Amino acid sequence: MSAPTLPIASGRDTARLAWGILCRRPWTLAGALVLLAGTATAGLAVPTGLGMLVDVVVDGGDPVLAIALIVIGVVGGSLLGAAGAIVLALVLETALARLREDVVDAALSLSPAVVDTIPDGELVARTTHDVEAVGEVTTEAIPAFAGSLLAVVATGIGLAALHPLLLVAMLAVVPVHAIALRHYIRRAPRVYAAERAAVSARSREMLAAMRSLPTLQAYGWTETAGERIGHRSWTVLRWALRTRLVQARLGFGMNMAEAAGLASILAVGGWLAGSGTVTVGEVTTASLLFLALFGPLAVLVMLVDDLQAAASALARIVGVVRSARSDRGRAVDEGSDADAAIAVAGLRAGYPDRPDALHAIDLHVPQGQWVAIVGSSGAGKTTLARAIVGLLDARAGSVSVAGHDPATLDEASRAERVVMVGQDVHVFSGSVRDNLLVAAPRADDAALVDAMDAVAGAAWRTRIGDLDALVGDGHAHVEPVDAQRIALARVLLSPASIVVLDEATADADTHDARALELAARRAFAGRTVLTVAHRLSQARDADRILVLDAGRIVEDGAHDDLAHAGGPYAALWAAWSSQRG
Amino acid sequence: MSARAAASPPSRSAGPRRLVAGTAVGAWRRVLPGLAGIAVHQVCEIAVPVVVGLVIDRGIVAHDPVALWTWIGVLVGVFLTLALAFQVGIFFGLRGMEEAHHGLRMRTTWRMLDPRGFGDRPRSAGELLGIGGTDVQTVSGGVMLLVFPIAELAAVIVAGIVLVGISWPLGVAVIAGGPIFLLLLDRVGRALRRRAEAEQQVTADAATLAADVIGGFRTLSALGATAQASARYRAASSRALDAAIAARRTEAWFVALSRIATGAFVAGIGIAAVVMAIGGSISVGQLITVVGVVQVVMGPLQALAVNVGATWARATASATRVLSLLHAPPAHEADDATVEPRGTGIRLRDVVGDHVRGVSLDVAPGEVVGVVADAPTAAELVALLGGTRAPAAGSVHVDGHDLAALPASRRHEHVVAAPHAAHAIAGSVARNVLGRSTGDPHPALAASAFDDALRALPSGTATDVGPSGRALSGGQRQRLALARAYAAPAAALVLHDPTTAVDAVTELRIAERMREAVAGRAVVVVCSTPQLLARADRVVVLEHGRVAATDRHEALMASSTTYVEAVS
Repeated sequence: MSAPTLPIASGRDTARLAWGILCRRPWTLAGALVLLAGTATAGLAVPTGLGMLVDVVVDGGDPVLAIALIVIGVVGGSLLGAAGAIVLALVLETALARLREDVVDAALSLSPAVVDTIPDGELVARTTHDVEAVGEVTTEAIPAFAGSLLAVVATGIGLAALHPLLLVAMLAVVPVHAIALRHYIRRAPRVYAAERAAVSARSREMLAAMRSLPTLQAYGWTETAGERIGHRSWTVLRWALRTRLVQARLGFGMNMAEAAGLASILAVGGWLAGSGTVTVGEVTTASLLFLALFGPLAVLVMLVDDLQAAASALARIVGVVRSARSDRGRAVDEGSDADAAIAVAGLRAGYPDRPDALHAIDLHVPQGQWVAIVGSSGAGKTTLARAIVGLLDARAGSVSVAGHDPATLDEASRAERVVMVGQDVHVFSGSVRDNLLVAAPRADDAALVDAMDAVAGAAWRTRIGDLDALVGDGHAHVEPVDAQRIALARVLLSPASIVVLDEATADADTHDARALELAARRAFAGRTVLTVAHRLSQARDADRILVLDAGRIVEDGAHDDLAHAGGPYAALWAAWSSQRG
Repeated sequence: MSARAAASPPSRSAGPRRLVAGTAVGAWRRVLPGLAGIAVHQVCEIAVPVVVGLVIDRGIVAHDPVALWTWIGVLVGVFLTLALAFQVGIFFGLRGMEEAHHGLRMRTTWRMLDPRGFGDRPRSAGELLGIGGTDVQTVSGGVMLLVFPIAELAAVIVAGIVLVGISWPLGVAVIAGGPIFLLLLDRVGRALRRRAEAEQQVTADAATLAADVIGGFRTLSALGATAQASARYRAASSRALDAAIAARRTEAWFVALSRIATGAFVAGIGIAAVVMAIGGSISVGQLITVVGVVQVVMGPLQALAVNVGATWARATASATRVLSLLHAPPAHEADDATVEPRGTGIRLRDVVGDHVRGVSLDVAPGEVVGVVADAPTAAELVALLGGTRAPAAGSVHVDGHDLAALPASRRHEHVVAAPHAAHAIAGSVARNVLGRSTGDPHPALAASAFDDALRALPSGTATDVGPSGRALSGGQRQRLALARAYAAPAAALVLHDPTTAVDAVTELRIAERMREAVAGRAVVVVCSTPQLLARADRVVVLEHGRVAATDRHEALMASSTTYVEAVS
C-alpha cells in the first residue's frame, strides 16, 4: 500500500480555519469570555471574606461584610460560571458541528480515484475518531483550560492587590513547574505514541483473530493466535505502566511546586505580617487563594497533552477540508444527449501515482446493448468501468456517456444518465427503505417493493424482511448476496439509462451468483448495460464481449464468433466450458 | 500459559460481583503496597491545612520566627511525603491493575479462541472485541476499588479526628453530615445527569452516521448520491448540535447547583468556626485548620459517597458481559473418543440437520467425492463434516473417530473443513500455508496455482501478506487458502467452493492439479464447479437435503438437466 495521500494541514492553516469557525459568532465568544472572567473574579471573594473573618477574630469588628462577601462569592461565582459555560458551549459546540459537517462534506466531495489510493479506514478515522478527539476537548478540556487560566490570572491579581511581594512569592512555583514540565514534554509524546501504537497493534491482532476464527479453529491454529495476542497484550501493559509513571513523575513535580509556592507565600506573608504591612487575615487569604490554585494549575498542565492531541487531530481534519473539490462538475441543459450511449476514444487512464492501467481504448456502444468485459485480474476491467462512469479521470482521450463527459458533469446530472454497482457494496445503517432511497430519493414505497421483487423475487421478504427492516451496522447482518440484491434494486430505481455492473460474486456461491445474473438480465432489459464478467456465463449471455488484456481491448465481438476465433476468449471459454457439457 | 488451563471455565456460581471482587483481591500482592502509598498520600493531604494553620498560629500570630520556619519546614516535609507516597502507591496499584487486566484479557481471549465454540449462540467479531476490550478494562479497573476508597476512608477518619480534636460538634457535623449532604446532592443531580446523558447519545449517533456515510463512499459515488448524503449528515449533525447544547445547559446548571450547595456547606461550617473563634473557644490557627480541612475532605467524601458506587456498578455491569462469554456453554461437550482403526475415511450415517435431511455417505482414503447442493445445505454439510456443528440425528465418523465424541481441540488432526471465506493469517505466505509447522510450502502453493502470484511477490514465500491479507487480491487469497488446505496433515479434507474468485483458466489449472495434491486422503469437494466435479470419483447430488443422485460427472451431465443447470 502506498503512503496516505490525504494531506495534513500545517499548523498555520489549522489555526486559521479553527479561528475562522470560532469567529463566526464573535459577540457570543466575547460574551462567554467576559462571563468566565467574572467567574474567576468571583472566585477571589470567598478567600478574601474568610481572611476578613480571621481579622475580625484577631482584632474584633463587624463580620457582616465578610459573610456577605462569602455568600456573594459562592452564589455569584456559581451562577456566573453556569452562564459562562452555557454561552461557551453555544460557541464551541456550534463550531464543532460545523467542523464535522464540513469534513464529511469535504470527504464526500473527494475524487473517487483519490479515495482509492487512501489506505482503508483513513478517511473514516479522520471523519470520526479525529472529530471525536476534537469534540472531547471542545466539551471538556477547552472550557476547563479557559477557566483555569482565568483563575490563575485572577489569583495573581488578587495576591498583588494584597501585596505585590505576595505575587512575587507565588512565582516560586514557576521554576519548579518549568523543570517538571520540561522533563515531561521531552518524554511524554514518545511514550504516549508507543502506548497508542501498542494498543492498536493489540486491537488489530484481536480483530484479525476474531475474523479468521473459523480458519484458525479448522486448522487447530488458535493457540498461535492466542499467544500472539498475549504478546501484544503484555506489550500494552508495559507501555501503559510507563506512561502512567511519566504522568506520576509530573505529579511529583507539581506537588513540589505547590510546596515551594505555599512555603514562600507563608514565609513572605509571615515577614510582612511581622512588619505590620499586611494583617494575619490577609496572609490567610493569600494562602487560601494559593491552596485553591492547586486544581487549576494541575488542569493547565494535564490538559497540555489533550490539547496537543486534539490539535494534531484537527490538523488531519483540516487536511481533508482543504482538499475538498470546490468544482464538483456542472449541470447540463436538457436535450443535448446524443443517442450513442457510450463513446470512448483514445482513452488512457490510471490511478493517481500509478502507471496507466488503460492504453488507447476505443469503444462505441449503441443504446440498449448488453456488453460484457472479460479478462484476467489486473487487465483493467474495473478501471475501464470506473472511467466510463466518470469516477476516474482520463489522462488522454475522451469518454462520452449519453453525449457528455461524465467526469465534468455534476453528480446529479451524471446519475440521471449513468450509475454503477461497484465491487464493495455498502449497506447503510438504517431501514431497507433508507437504503433504496439513496438512489431515488423521491420513490414511493410501491416502487421500492417492485424493485426489490424484480431483483430478488418474493424471497427477499423472508431473507431480509420488509421495507422497515433495519439493516447495516448495528442492525441485522445482511448476507453478501442480499447486499448485492439491495445494490441492484438501487440501480433499478435510478433513472439512468446506462448501467455499469462490477459486482464481485466471489462470496456468493454459484447458485446465488447465477440467480443474481439472471435477475439483473431481466431487470435491466432495455437499458444499456456494461458488465464486468467475473463468471463466463455472464459473458455468454451478453450481446457483445470485450476481452481486455494489460489495459487494451484485444478482442471485441459476439460470444459465438469469439468462442471459435481461436483467440484469448476461445481459450478462456474452453477452460470454462470444458466440463459443462 | 497453556490454552487448555486458561480456557477451563470458572465455577458456575461465580457471579459478576465475585468476578470484580476476585479480580481485585487476586492482585493483592500489588494492591497492598499500592494502598499503603495512596493512604499515606491522602492523609498527608489532610495534614497540609493543619500545618498551614500551625504556621499562622505559632509563627505569624505569635510573631515567632523560629516557629514560623520550623513549621514551614514541616509543611515542606509533609509535601515531600505525600508526593513520594503517591509515586509508590501509583506504581504498585497500577501494576496490580494492569496485570489483572492482562490476565482477564487472556482468559477471555482463550475462551473466544476455544475450538469448542459457543453452544448457545454465535457471536459477532464486534461483540467479542467489545467484551475483550472495554468490558475487560472496566472490570480490571475495579482493582482500584481496593486502593482509593480505603485510602480515602483513612483520610476521612484522620480529618474526623483532627476536627473532633478542635471541636467535637464541628467534627461530627462534617464527618456525619458531609456524606448525607453529598448523597442528597447526588440524588437531586441524578435526574439532571440522566437527561444530559440521553442528550449526549444523540451526538454519539451523529458520529456513527458519519462513519457509515464515509464507509459507503464508493457506493455513494457510483450512484452519484454524495451531495445528498452530505445534506442528510448535515441535518443529523444539526439535531445533534441542539441536543449537545441542551446537554451542556443541563450540566452547567447541575454544576452550579452543586457548587452553591457545597459552598454553603463549607461556608456554614466556616462561619460556625468563626463564631467559636470570636467566642475564644478555638484559636485563629484552628479556625484556618477547620476551613482548610473541610475543603480538602470534601474530595474523599465525595468519592466515597458517590463515585465508589458508580465505579462498582459499571464494573459489575461489564463483569456480567465478561461472564456471559466465559460461562458460555461449549458447542461440544466431548468425552474421549472410542478409537477404531485408522484409515477408514469419512462415513456419514443418516445425518440430519436443519437443511440436511438424512444423508449417508462413505468416502474411502484416496477417494474424491463431489457434492452439489443448494447454498444453505452445502454450508451446513461442510459444518457437519468439519465437526463445528453436531448433527441432530445420525453420526459423522472421520478417520475412525465419531466427530461428536472427539475433543474439539483435536478435530483438526483428523479432518480439515476449509472455510469458504478465504481468511489470511497475519504473517508470511509460508505461515499462511503451514502455520507453525515447518516444511516446504511450494508443492501446495503450486497445486493451488498460487505459483504465478508467488513470482510477483517481493520475498517469495517469506513475503508478509499484511493485515487481513490486504496485500493480496481476492483471488490470490482464495488460492492461498486452498494451499493451506492441501498442506494440512489431516487424513480427511473438505473443500467448499474453493475456486469462486479465480478466472476460468486458473480454475482449470487448479482442477488439473487437485488429485495429485490430495492423493491418499478422503476428500469431499462441495461446489458447483464442473472442472472440479469432473475430477471427482463420483458426484453426489443433494436435493431438498437428500441424496437425489450419485454418479460420475459426465454421466450426470448426460442424464440430468437439473444437474446441468446447477453446474453451469
